[in-house]
Amino acid sequence: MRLKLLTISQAILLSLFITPVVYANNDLGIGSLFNVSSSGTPANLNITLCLNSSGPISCQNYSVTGLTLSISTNIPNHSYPNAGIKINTAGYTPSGCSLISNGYCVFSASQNTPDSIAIAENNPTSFSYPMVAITAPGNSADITGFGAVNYQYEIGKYDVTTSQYTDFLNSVAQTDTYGLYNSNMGTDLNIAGISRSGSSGSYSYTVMSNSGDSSNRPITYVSWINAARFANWMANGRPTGAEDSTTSENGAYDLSTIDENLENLNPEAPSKNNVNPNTNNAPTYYIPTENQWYKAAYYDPELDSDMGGYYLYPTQSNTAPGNSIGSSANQSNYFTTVFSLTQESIYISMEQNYLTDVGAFSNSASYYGTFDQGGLVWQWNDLDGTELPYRGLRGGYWWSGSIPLQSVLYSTDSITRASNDIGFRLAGPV
Amino acid sequence: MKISIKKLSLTYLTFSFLMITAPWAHASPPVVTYPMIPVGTPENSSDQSTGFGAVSEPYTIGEYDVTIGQYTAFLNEIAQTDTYGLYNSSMTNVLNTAGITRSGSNGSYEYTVMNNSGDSSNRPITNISWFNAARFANWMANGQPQGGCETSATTENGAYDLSVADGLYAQNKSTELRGKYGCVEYVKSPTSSSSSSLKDMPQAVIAPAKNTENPNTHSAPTYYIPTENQWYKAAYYNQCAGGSYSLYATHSNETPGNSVGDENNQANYLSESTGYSVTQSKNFSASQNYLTDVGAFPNSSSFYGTFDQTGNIWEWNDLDGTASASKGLRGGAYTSTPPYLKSTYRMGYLATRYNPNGGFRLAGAEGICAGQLCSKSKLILVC
Repeated sequence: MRLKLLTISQAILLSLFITPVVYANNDLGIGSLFNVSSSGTPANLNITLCLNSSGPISCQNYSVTGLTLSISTNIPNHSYPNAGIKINTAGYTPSGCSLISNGYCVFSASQNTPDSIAIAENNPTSFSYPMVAITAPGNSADITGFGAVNYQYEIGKYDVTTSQYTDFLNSVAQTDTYGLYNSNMGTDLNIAGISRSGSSGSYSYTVMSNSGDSSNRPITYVSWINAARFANWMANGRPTGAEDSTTSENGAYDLSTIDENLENLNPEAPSKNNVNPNTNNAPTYYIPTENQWYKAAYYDPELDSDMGGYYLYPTQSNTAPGNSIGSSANQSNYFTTVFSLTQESIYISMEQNYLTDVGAFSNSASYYGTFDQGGLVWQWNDLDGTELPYRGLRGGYWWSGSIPLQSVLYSTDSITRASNDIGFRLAGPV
Repeated sequence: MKISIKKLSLTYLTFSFLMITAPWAHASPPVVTYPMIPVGTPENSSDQSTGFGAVSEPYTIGEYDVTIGQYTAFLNEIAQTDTYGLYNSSMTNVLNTAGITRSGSNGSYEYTVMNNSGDSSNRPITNISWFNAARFANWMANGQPQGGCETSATTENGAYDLSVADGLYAQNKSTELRGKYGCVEYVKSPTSSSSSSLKDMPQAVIAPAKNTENPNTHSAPTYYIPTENQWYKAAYYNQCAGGSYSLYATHSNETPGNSVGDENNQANYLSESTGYSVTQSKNFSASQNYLTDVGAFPNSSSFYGTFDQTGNIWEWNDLDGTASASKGLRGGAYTSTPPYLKSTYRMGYLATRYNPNGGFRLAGAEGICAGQLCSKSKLILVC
């Protein structure tokens, strides 16, 4: 009886604190390597702990029931400076440790001084996507015929970033039915990016370190269709769930026709919904029309004695920008006779990142305060919004000359194009 | 008596002088030989993936881009007084694509093809606005008039009536040029203006629609800038493969290589693996020529037999032919990576502006091929 009670207490203790489930790569050939206790916010998580995570070697899987962990080793008289933890349950990120490229988060472990690791549930709704107001409705069109918008609206201050797109993927792309992730996002080191781990049904996505943290660089390899999916997700309040009409496939744009025939190589971009069927209101985020994009980039209501006018470049300038990163005026990430990021004339294909953080040219905004509408990456626009197999691209990119940064150049391409030179920003109503 | 003889000889001398510049000089052999390719199968369907390529009538199109040598010959005939800026200094100074040098003074300008890491005669002319491409088309459509001024009989009308544009141009320029050097400008009152605040920017001028009749010949213009559909069909259409379209104008759906020479499916573009075509290096130099001679990839033509519609230089097109401030550019250039070479990609640019990597080829009436100017080997296509 007494023995049985003890056994029950022990079981409770185990379920609360230490549950070594599977011994993986246990080259020490002994029992539990780690002593783990969990507390705080309840959660059911599977984790892997390693004595040396850079290997990784001497690893064991554990289950924990709370988000705050206290971890020590069961190995006397030795400390492990490269112990590591990996959260195997999707949607959680550890902190109090240092994340490395193989997915492990490194901490120092020993027997007598437990290390504390906090686990946070990823909250994709938490990032901020700042918008600026585009005032002066009723402005005249530029000499090119573009730029007239007769209502107020808002547009993204920056391009959508790698970390924002990663949050989007972690919210809806655990089974990536419609290919929101493009593997080049993880392998093209000119722009990378995002790595994907796990298998379909439990994919998880991590912002990569690529000559520095890529979080605040613009996302590339997004087709117009995937930009529309991101807009849908934003317009639907950033929900979590499978890729369906309530998350990414409807909202600002009804993509059902495209989804029903994924083999169609020539899909047409649908027009924006007047009403988001998920909210019964006008879509709150969408891809800017060409006029909306153009006005935000080039218009200045104070030019021409407050009559309003347009610049040639989206840096409030009629002369070509320089390409020095920093706080000089009229700078942009494009190719002069050298690349902006390297300041060298030679192109390095396999290892060099060429993307700057959004807003890296801090004194080169448009009149309305948008950054990087010239250079860095081309940005999708919705032309005049009618159904067509192509959509607009404006602004040039990190390997273009100055001409594509100009207001007087426009271009269009297939809505399926995804490449290392194209990203997007969103617009929305006031 | 002596006096009369003097008068007679003066009259004779004057008459001789007139002969040199008289209109009958048109009977001389053409200054420029510009081979054309017939494009058949009228009323073809458009490319489903883009919506472009349908052309209802038979037409011809230049086998090659207009070259530096051809444009130089044109300038030497018509731009001794360069009223409308048919030459610009970028043609000399931008060594990536140069070019043409100019000597002498206005009224007696002379133009010479440059040697720029080799003879540049057969490289495509660049730094050409849509308007200057239209002037070259006008001159061709007017029978290549030899000697004279930039007037409605030579460059300012023919396929395109540029009088409104010229009026705006003259407004922006110093008026000193008008009427000087024996060249009388052809200027109408401007009918459009712009409220642009961009004082240092070329004024937006509406590029006119093509004339249905050339006022100088009283027949349809024989040469003109291809519409986007005409350009697209010549580049990508294959009338033998069930009327399908290729992605590249090298008769291929596969990304071309960029080796100069006679391999199949090659073009002058910027490869992420081999770099620039001419240098086979990923390093850029402002003093390096990057243009290839037209037709330098002899086994990489389009189905119809045109060369270099993919790569080398961006080429102007007339969009749908209606009057507009912007006109089209297609095909990619030596500065372009593969996505920009494809049939799916297109640009529009203000028609008054020009770039070191942009030029043009002409299209023409079907009847041109009755003459000697067509490439005879391409006249009959056997599927």
